[in-house]
This record gives sequence, C-alpha cells and structure tokens, in this order.
Amino acid sequence: MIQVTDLRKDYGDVRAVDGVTFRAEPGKIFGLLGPNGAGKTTTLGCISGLLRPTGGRVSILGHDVVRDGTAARKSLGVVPQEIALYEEVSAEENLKYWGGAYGLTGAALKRRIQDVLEITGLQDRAKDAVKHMSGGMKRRLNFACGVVHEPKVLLLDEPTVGVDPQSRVKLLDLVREQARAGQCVLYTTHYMEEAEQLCDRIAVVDHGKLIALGTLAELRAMTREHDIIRITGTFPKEDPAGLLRSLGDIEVRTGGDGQLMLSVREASKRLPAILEALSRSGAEIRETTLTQPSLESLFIELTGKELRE
Amino acid sequence: MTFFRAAVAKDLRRIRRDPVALLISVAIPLMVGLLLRLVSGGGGTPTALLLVTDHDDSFASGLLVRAFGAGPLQELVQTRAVSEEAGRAEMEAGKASGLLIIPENFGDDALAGTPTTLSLVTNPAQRILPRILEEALDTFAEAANGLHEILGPEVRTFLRRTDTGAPSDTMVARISVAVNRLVSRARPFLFPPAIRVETVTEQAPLDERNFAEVFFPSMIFLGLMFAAQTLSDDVWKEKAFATLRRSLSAPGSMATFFLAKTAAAAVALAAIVTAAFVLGRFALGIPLHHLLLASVWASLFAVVMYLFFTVIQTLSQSHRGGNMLTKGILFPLVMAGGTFFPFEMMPANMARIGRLTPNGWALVETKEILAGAWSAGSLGLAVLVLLAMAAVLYLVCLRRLTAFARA
Repeated sequence: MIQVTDLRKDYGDVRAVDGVTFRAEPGKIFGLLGPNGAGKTTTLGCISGLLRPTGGRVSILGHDVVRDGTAARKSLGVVPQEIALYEEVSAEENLKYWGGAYGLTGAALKRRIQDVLEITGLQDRAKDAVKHMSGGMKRRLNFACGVVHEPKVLLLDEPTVGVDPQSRVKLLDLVREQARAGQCVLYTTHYMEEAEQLCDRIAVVDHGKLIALGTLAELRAMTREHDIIRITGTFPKEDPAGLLRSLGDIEVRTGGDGQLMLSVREASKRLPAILEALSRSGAEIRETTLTQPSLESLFIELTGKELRE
Repeated sequence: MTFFRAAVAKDLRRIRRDPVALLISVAIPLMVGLLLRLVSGGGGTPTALLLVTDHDDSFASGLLVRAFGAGPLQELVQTRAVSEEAGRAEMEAGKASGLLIIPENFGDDALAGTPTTLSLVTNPAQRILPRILEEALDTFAEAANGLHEILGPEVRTFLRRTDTGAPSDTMVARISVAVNRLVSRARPFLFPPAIRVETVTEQAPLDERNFAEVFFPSMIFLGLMFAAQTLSDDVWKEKAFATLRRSLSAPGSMATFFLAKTAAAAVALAAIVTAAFVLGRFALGIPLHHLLLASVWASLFAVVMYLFFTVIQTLSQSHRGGNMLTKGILFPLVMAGGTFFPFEMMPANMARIGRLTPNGWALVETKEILAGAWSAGSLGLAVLVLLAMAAVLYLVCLRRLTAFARA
C-alpha cells in the first residue's frame, strides 16, 4: 500500500508538487493522470526515494520513505520512463543485476529470471545484448527488471511512451497481471485511454496539484454527464457565448482563434440547433467533433484545456 | 553483500562485453613505444663493444682477443684495448657491453696448466649482447682447456722455440705426428679446466638502463592513466542509460553501488597492469623483478587516478565537459610526470618537477620495485598515502554521485 499525504516538492522557487494526497491499495491499479510537466514523475520520484520531498509524508507498506528508506525500497519495484538498462550486456544479465540489487540470489533468482522472460515474451532473446533489441523489446525488458524481485508495490512511470501498439497491449496486460497477483500498482500516464482501460482509481494532476480523484465512474460523474463539442471555423466578432445563450444550458469553455469548445448535456441531440445558430450569426464551420463524458472531458471541465496541450 | 557482488559482476561483464574503449586506451602507449623505438633506430644488427684490459700481453692473450674478431663473431663484437681504470669507467657509464680483464701471466699459466681466471664484467642494461660475449668466452676457454690437455707439451715446446727463432723442420714434423696421434685419442674432457671464466654483472643505477627498461614502466603507466580516465567516463554512461537513477531506487546504498564500481575498475586495471608486466618480463625478456608487488602498487595508483577522474566527471555539467576536463588534466600529468617521456630522457630540472606529480612519484616507486631497489618502510608509507588518497576521493565521489544521479 502507498500512502501519500500532503506531498510537496520544490525546486528553488518552483513548486513541482503541491499538497498531493492519495492512497493506493494492494491488488489495484492506481492511475496518476496529467499532461506532461504536471508533476507525475516528481511525485513518483518522491515515492521511490529518488527525490527527497520538501514537505508531506510518503509511506510504503507503513515504512516512511525518508526515515525508513531502505525498508520502504525493499518492497518497491520501479519501471522508469526511460529505458534504464545496461546496453552492453544481455537481457538475462540485466535481470541478474536488478534481481541481485533487490537481494535475490541463486536458484530463486534463476527461477524468477526465467519467469519474467517468459511473461514478457523475451525468452528467445535472453542471451542477446540489449543494444541489439527493438524498442518494444527494451520496454518489455525494462518492465521485467522492475518486477523480477516480485515487489509488493510497483511504480510505473509512463511505461508505454514510444511503444508500438502490439507491445503496448502486451505491456498493459502485464500490468494487469501484476495487480491480479496482489501488487499495489501506481501507474502514471498522460494517455487518458490507458488510464480509462487500466486503472481502478485515478488521480488527475495538473501544475503539481491533484485536481480530481476517484474511480472512473466517479470521475465521469464529475463531468455532470456533459459532452464536449469542439467546433473549428471562422466566427463573427460578437461573443459566441452570447450567441448560444438563447439555446440554454450550454457552457462555452474556450472561444476565439478559430475554435470554440462547448460543454453540453446530450450534445448529439442538440448539435443541429447549435450549428444552425452559429450559421445564422455568419460563422463558417469547417470541422466539428463531439466527445462523450471521459477523463479528457473531465480534464477540460476542470482546467479549461485539453490533456495533451 | 548480494548487491555488492551483483554490481561488481555487472560492471565486469560490461567491461568484458565492450572492451574497445579500454583496449584503445591501453594500445596508445604501445603505439607510442613502437614509434619511439623506430625513431630511436631500433632496426639493424646490434654490435657488442668488448673492452679488453690485457695485463699479460702475451701471445696467448693476443690469440684470445683476436678470436673475438674472427668468424661470425666479427659482425657481433668489436674489441677495444683499454686500461682497467678506463674500462671500468666506461662500463659505469654503460658505454660498452662488456669488459674483459686478462690477468698477468695468463699465457704462462694457461700453458703450464695452472688455473687462471679471466674476468668478464657485463652491462646489466643489456640482455643479449653480454650473453654472446659470455658464451664466446666460455667456448674459447673450453677449447683452450682441451688443447692444453691434448697438446700441452708440444705447444709449450713450440712456443719456447718461437721465442728464440724459427722452429726446425724436424721439430715441426715431430709435433705434427704427436698432434695426429693425440687427436685420435678420445679423452678431451676428462680433466679439470685450467682456465675459469668469472662473469661479474655490475648493479647499474636506474638512469643507465636500456630502452625497454626505461620505457616499459612509463608505457604501462601511460596505459593505466588512460584506462583510468576511460573507466571514469562510465558514470556518464550510467547516467545516460538512466541506470544510475534506477539504482537509487534499489534498497542497496549508493555507497555499496560505487564501492562495487570501484572494485570492478580495480580488477580491470590490475588485469591490465599484471598482463603488461608478465608480458614484459617473460615475452619481451625485460629484467623486471617483484612483479606481484609492482602490479599491486601500480594498480592501487591506477585506482586512485580512477577515483580522481570520477570526481572530476561528477563535477562536470555535461558528458562532453567531463571528458574534456579529465583529458585536460590527464595530458599535462602524463607529459610532466615521466609517463610519456621517461625522466631519463628529460632535462634534469624538468625531471625533478615531474617526479613531484602523482604519476611521477608513483612511477619512480614502481621502477624501484621492478629494479629490486625498494625498502619496506618507504613503500609501506607510500601505500598508506595512496590508501588515504583513495579513501578521501571515494568519499568525495560518493557525496557528488547522488546529486549527479538526480540532476
């Protein structure tokens, strides 16, 4: 179990993590969702002991990561965002080192190396030097090195960045298997689809702050069942909000610069009326997209911007 | 302990799998040595200069000296008559391969069968040429002994007659018959030798040694310094691989991680230096002594250099900066510290300054060990100094490394 309480991390005058509090449970996947630079990796760094928090408290299975760091790290497996492997040596030798780094030796280490090579589909490439592997294989080996010692708590920092679709599916399956085996998994991503597919509970972070926390259903409820309509085109100079106000219960999230973003309940039914009203005002519409309630619509709802911005 | 073992094994595997950079760093001094050998005219047949002090000045002693200028030996040996004092002075200066001292009454004693001793002083800085002189002199002595046993009375008679005038035909015929009969007897080696050769090898000071002995330790140190710099670069590789950061998340401490890294570097450096010394001693025939002690000392010094360069690397802002900075320190050190140009080739003032550099100091100690001229007390103190330096540099590295990994 991971307990993060009022976590803060400053870099000089910049506050990278600002009062984040959450709890991740065994057997569940906890997602930390946010755009690049939101503070996810810094939060993970504080949990893994790589960074020293400026304030707050982090504990892993009851062990404080600052005061009782060694005990806390013993239960921890980390799969970093970067491919943190020794390129000159083989997959098996990398696993041997990372297993040894967590105290595994002898027959137990050998058995675990075979297990993780098998579950990651790398048993045929066990003897190959890492530098000769594809990006997808390296990602899988990166994951294998994080779980070779069967950690009780697993931290994954955007493990699918730059991965081909096939390897991504495989990696997400592997993460689910770890949770099914009873591990407490903390998964950071900026891909909302991944968070939606994978996570039991999700914390949405932006600018170092936790802006929403709950299950997928709970977060969807926070969107008030509103859909998001994005309209691209040329709009008259008058205020688009004023134009659409007469249609009732339409919230203009952003406007101008050739794009209009609206938060609307039952958008598919009301879209024709919206488009007609805009046309009447002299707008030339080039593209319209409709997004049903999702983490992305929630993020827009909460921050007024898209997750990938 | 498990982490330490795993980390040492990991680094040794990495060095073994990708040895190119390390091999290049070791190959550089070999190339330098080869170039210097070519520049200094390493080719052609070497010639031994044999100085001869003939206190006897008899027909027999003249025969002996002339024998060195006959047959195949004439291409290998040049002889020059000198007084004993002048000969010894030239030997002290390392200007000749050997000094042959023929005692007074050598000829008479040889003919009378009275034991007599020839002294051959050889140059310790040379290996092959003095051996040729020794072998040749031994052969001449054996031949003279045999001749004495077989034809002693006839030769004595013949020589006595040549002192007073030409021998008569009857005498020549009688001696010829006697020689013919005696040669047919198979008893040439049944008697103790009348002439004994005593070979004296002088202990030469360090500065008077030959090319290989002067250059070899310097070349090894040059290789070690380059190898230490190359190995120190690994902290940047670990940083680029993100394995350094990942290691911070492991329960093992950074102290253990870096101790293991240092131990792996020490093994690699010790392997290089030991292989080089063994190669020099047994393959190239360079007279090196106390190889184990010299290897331990040179390896310890190389580890200190590795730690020093690692400190510089961790203080640098970038990989490129780290490399430039460490090499910027390495080159002046090898130039001044007798590692590139041996002290023996430097002007005295420069050599004096060079001996004060860390590598200059360590190189002098190494040469003394290899020459067998070390004392336990001073070497023990020097080892303690190196160990203290290693400990301080290790602690500084450790302090820097965590921040370096996180940055």
